[in-house]
Amino acid sequence: MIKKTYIDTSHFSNIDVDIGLMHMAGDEELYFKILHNFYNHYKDFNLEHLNEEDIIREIHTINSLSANIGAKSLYTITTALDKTHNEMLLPQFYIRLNLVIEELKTLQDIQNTKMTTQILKETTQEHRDELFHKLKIALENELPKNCYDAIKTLQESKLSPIEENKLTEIQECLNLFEFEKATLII
Amino acid sequence: MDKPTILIIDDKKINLDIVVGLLGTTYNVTVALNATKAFQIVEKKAIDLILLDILMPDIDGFGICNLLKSKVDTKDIPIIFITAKTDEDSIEKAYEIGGIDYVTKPFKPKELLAKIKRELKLQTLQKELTLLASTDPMTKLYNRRYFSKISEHIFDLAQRNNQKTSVIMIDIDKFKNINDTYGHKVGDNVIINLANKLISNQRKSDVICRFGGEEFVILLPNTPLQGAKNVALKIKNDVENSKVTTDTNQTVKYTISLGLSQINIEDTRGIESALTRADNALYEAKISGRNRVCTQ
Repeated sequence: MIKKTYIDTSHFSNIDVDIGLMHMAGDEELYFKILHNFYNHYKDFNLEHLNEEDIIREIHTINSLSANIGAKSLYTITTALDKTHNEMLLPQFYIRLNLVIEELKTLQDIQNTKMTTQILKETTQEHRDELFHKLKIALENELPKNCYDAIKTLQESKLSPIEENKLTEIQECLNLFEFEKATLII
Repeated sequence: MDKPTILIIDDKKINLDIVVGLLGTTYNVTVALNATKAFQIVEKKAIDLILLDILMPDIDGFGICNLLKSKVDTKDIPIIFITAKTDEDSIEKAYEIGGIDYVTKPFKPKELLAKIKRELKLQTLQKELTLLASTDPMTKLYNRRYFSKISEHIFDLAQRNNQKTSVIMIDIDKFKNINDTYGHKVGDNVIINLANKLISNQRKSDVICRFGGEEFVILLPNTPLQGAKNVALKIKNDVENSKVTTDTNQTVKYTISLGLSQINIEDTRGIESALTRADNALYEAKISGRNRVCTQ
């Protein structure tokens, strides 16, 4: 039985959370991270300026991602698009994608509220240096999981403005998995 | 024991994040968003398994697989294709070009983990088998079969980089006398003692092998004849100063003879003629009094 305690998703009708969580091995934190990433990546998405090859690849990606997150209706239309490449299906695709995005937008709002109300831990400079050192080792070893864990711990701590900027820059590098560039920031 | 390292290659960060999230606790998981980065990683890291997406810009998964399989250093890394493509042609092609398995997205996490676990286990067994087939159980040195294989590779490298490469043949002097006088167990201990001496004098790129009963060969890449001679003399002196103690506390001293030659990289017979010359030099060392180094 999969527990749903991380964020309330009772209003979801286009995303089946049970299916999504099953694809994430029941890991709620991972699931909501992926939903969050999906929203950010596809909130302003359109295929108009892409060439044919890129359109095929994007549809293919959304097809597997929609299945992963449990967006069944979006999965159905992208499966048809992936197989037939029929442009007549595109309006339906946009409608269903937008329904998913609208649903995820509420999650994003909750996430933003959560971040502004989160109480940060007071830590010593020595402890924060130690945390940054851990992050540096994770970056040098190019192991994203360890990087994410180290960043999460740092985000829960009260940082100086310089440290906050540093962490933001590192996260931007990690969005492209630019480990060496991120290491240099530390 | 260190966790196995898995490389995931996919052009979408969100896909990578899913697999990192699922596998990152059990394994060391590293990632590449494109072929260039993937090849940088396999050059600097020991990768135990690759999860490879098929549909990617520039070089697709099939292209990356072909390139990995064409390189000596990466051809044995197992590759599992992980993709939303479910058509039979893609699946057939994935296996044809060397993929060991195929997982379709959205994958079932437990199934993916089980497949990875099984493949890593198979890989460990494969390595053990390869080791057993390529080494001599008594000395743990490479055997003659492995030598034939590796020497071809070293010869090709020497040719490509125009590098001087030498070979040393070693034989224990009057080994039959040792066996006859002290018994085969002591004879075996002498062989093990020599093997340990060879290992302790081994440089990083040297390849040592037990060629026959009491005969050993060392391949010395990027080493001219004079360099090989220095190595040979060091080994000879080291052995001369060593001793083996029997169960009855008797001390057994032994010596070795060594024959050297430099490989002619333009020789169409590869390393064979160098081995023959080293063998002739070894014969010369034997007939001229043993416990010496001769070159040809």
